[in-house]
Amino acid sequence: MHDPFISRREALSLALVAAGTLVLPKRAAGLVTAAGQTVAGSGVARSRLVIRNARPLDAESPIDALRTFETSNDLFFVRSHHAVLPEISTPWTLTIDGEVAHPVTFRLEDLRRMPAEHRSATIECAGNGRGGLELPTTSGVQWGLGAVSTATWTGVSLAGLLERAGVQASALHFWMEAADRSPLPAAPTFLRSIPRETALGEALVAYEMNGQPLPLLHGGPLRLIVPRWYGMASTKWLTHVHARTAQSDNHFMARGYRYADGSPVDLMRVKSIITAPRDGERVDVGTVRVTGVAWTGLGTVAKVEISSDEGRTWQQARFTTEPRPGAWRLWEADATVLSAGEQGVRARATDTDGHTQPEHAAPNPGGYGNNSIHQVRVNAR
Amino acid sequence: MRADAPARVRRIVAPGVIAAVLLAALSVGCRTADVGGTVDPDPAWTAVVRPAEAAEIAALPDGPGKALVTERCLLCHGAGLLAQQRKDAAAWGRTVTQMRTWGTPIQDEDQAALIAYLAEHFGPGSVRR
Repeated sequence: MHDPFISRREALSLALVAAGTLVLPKRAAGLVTAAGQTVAGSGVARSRLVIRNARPLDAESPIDALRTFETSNDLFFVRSHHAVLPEISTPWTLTIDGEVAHPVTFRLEDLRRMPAEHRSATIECAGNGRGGLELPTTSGVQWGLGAVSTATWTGVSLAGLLERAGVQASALHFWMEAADRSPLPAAPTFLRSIPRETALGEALVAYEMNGQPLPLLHGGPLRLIVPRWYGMASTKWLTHVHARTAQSDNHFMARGYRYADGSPVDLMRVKSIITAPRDGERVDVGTVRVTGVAWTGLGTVAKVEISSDEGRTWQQARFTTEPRPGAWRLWEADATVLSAGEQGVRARATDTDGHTQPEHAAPNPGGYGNNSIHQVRVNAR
Repeated sequence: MRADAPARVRRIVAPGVIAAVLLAALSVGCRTADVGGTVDPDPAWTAVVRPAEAAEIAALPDGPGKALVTERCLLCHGAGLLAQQRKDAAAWGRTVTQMRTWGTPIQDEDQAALIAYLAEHFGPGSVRR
C-alpha cells in the first residue's frame, strides 16, 4: 500500500501561497491529496470557493454547495492561520509526549493499520458570519455564511492513542502542535489545546475526508477533528500532542478566540442557514420550497422553523436527515409567499439543549459565534 | 541628513532580507519539489487566485503609507485581509505594534505613516471594498 505521506511538492504548494507567488502545482488547492491523488469532480468547481484572503488561503463554500449532508472536498471551506512550509517532516509522524508513561511516535502507516473510526462532523469557523455583524471595529476574515461544511472523517480516536501512550491523571490539557508556520520566525505558531474530557471523548485523529486521503488544504495528511467545537479546535497538519497539566498559553488560546466577557470560544452555537432559495432569487408567488442545514454543539438540532412574514409567524420545517451529534441536519419547508415584490424568508433552529438562534447575536470584538437568524430576500412575481 | 542614513538602510534592507530568505527557501523547494525542476502551474486555480490577489493589491488606495503596506504587511497577508478590516488609529496601532513584536520589519519612523494610512482607508465606517 502506498504510504500517503505528504510530498515536498505538495508542501511547496502552500509555501508558494504563503510567499505570494500564487503559482500552485497541479492538483493543488482542494484537489491535492496527501497521497498525491486527485480528487474526482474538481475542475472548474473548485474555483467556486469564495476567496476571502489569498495568503494564507481562507476561502468559503458557496452556499449552494451546502445542500448535501457531506460537502465535497473541493468545495469544503478552507481556513489557514499559517502555511505549511516545505521542510515539514516526511514521512509524517505523530508524537505523543508530556504527561504520559510512554512517549510514543506513530507513523501515518501505523495509524492506518489501527481499527478505523468514521465520524461525520460539521466544522464551522468561529468567525463564520463575522462580515454580517457590521461591527464598528473588527479584525479577522470578514466571512459571509459559508465558513461551514460537513465531512465524514476517517481516522483513529485520540483517546485510543493516548491510552497507548499511558496518559496520566495529571494530563488535564492536550496541546496540539502543527506543521504550519508564519514566514516570520518570531510570530506565534497556531497551537491550541483541548481539555481532557474532550480529548478522551469524541476527538478523532483523521487521515481521510469523505473517503479520500485528507487533502493538504484541509489539514492533510493528518489533522484533529473535535466534533461540536468551532473549527479552531480541529488542528490541521497535526504533528504532536503534548499532554500537559495546564492549557496552552499560545497567543491563539490566551488572547485569540475570546468572547466579549473573556470566556473562551468553544462549542458551536445552534445555527441554521437557508441554502435555497438564494438571496435575491426570483420566485413565483405562492408556495416556495425552502431548504437548509442546521447544527449545534450541544445535543442535536430539535427544531427548525421558517417565517415568510418578517418573523410574525413561524412554521416548522421537516428534517430530511437524522440527528447526529456534531453533524448538521438537512431540512426543508414550503413557505407561502402571498404577494409580489421583495419578501424575506428566515429560518431559526432550536437544539435539544433548549437554545434557539437569536434575532441578532451579541456582538463581540472578535466577531465570533454569530448565530443570528439567517434571512434571504426573494423577488416574488 | 547623514544621521538618517542607517535608518534608511535598515528600512530598505530589512524587508529585502526577509524577501531574500523567502525566495531562497522557495528556490530550494522548487529544486527539490519536482524532478523536472519546474513547478506546474494549475491554470484553473491560478486563473482564480492570481487575479484576485492582484485586484486586491490594485484596489489599495493610493497615498502616503501605501508602499509600507505592500512592503511590510503583505509579507504575510493578502491585501484583501487588510482591506476588510475596520479599525480606528488606536486599534491599528495595537495591530502594528503586535506585528512588530512578531518580527515585521517596521521602523519607528515609519509606524505613524503606516497607521495613518490604515486608519484613513480602513477605519470605522469606511466603505467596504
